[in-house]
Amino acid sequence: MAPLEPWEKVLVSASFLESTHGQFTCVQCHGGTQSPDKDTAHTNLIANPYTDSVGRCDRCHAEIMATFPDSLHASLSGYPVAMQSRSVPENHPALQEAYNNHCSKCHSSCTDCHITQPQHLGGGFLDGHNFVKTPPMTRTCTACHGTRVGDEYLGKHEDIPGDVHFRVGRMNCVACHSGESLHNTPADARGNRYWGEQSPACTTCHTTVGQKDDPILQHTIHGEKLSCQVCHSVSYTSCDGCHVAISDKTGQPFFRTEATYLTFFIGKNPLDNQNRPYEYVPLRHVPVAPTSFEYYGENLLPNFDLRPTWMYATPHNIQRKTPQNQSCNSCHGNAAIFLTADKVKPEELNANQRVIVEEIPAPIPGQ
Amino acid sequence: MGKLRIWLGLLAGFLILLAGCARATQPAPTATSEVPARPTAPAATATSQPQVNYCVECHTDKDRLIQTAKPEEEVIEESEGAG
Repeated sequence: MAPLEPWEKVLVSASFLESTHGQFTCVQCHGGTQSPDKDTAHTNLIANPYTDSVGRCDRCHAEIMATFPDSLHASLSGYPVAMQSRSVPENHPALQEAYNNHCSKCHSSCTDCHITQPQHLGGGFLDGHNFVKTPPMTRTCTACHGTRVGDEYLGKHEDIPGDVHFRVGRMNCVACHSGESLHNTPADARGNRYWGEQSPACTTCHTTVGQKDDPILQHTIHGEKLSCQVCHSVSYTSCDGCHVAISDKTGQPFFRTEATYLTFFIGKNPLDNQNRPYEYVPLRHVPVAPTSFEYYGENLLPNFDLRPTWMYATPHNIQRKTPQNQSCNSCHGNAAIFLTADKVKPEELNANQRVIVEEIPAPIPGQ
Repeated sequence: MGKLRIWLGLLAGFLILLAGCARATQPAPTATSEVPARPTAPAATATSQPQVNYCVECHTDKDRLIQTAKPEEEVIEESEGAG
């Protein structure tokens, strides 16, 4: 949507004043001073009260606030884990500086989803300061999760349909990603969203898949060897070579991504995780490069090869029928859709050894 | 008898005055902090809006906001590619 005008971002609606949250005084949440003079009124103003949340959100929403600071949305702890796992402890301070400058702004607070648009999109009230219980998908969720999830789910790539759950089911993000899961990341998943229990899981709704009464033979044959997305997702976004720096001209942090392209590659599952026991999964190239953070120091990722650059993916463009599930041999024997060594950059071969498919599943005779 | 009534009346008046003084010497209620401490009650209670709420007066007035809003600095976007 078009950016909001400066006045529009802060225009409070009459309905807010009648709402439950509108019963608090402005100063109770935002600090500042009651004054007819704008500068005086705004002295010590807390524009986003979540940043000093004690005594504010948690006063009534204590249960949510007990877990939210440790959730991935608030902590972004997946970023430092990914950065540090390719590095060594002596490089952590430099990586932390890079993280602070370039990554941490994606942190989201209570207000970023329930009152305003995300700050990195310029902020501004969603609805005249009314608290929106279910954040609007395109103004909050896909405003941040846009390049990959949003564009895939909404079908913004030419000739690639949107996700069936959106096209047919008209489901928004929270239809699968419950408020509970967004506010609370289990302890075992705080370093990576794919480490904990699968939540959401396709089988929560599709309860018959792989069961005795499942009429689709392929579900039973493949069992837990394939993640659902291997058969039911289509081409999705991969990125290469993100580099970050501080601008000489403006002093502002910026990034440059070398390439963004659509791929569909099935590879070996990089996760050692009993909740995701699949042998094959779709893999997405993440934009890291050995020199991604070179602005902050030389060779900051000396253990680059310890982590694949083709990563476990759950593309959000699920289809009932896909090119690879048309027949057995649409997949079996079809090297084009498997991540083989020739599709990996030579300098990334070592990092991706465990996800590269060395032997393509043989064609099924007579099919 | 008449004098006794006068004395009793004066005594009653004195006691009433004394009671008034005693109330006045009790500590005056202190102004509550704008950001109250964490409540011990199950739920926080909202306090009533001030009689003249300058914040609301301005932030519900579209024309006034248009007049007073600082123009946003144009940000030169130097990032390139998908984020």
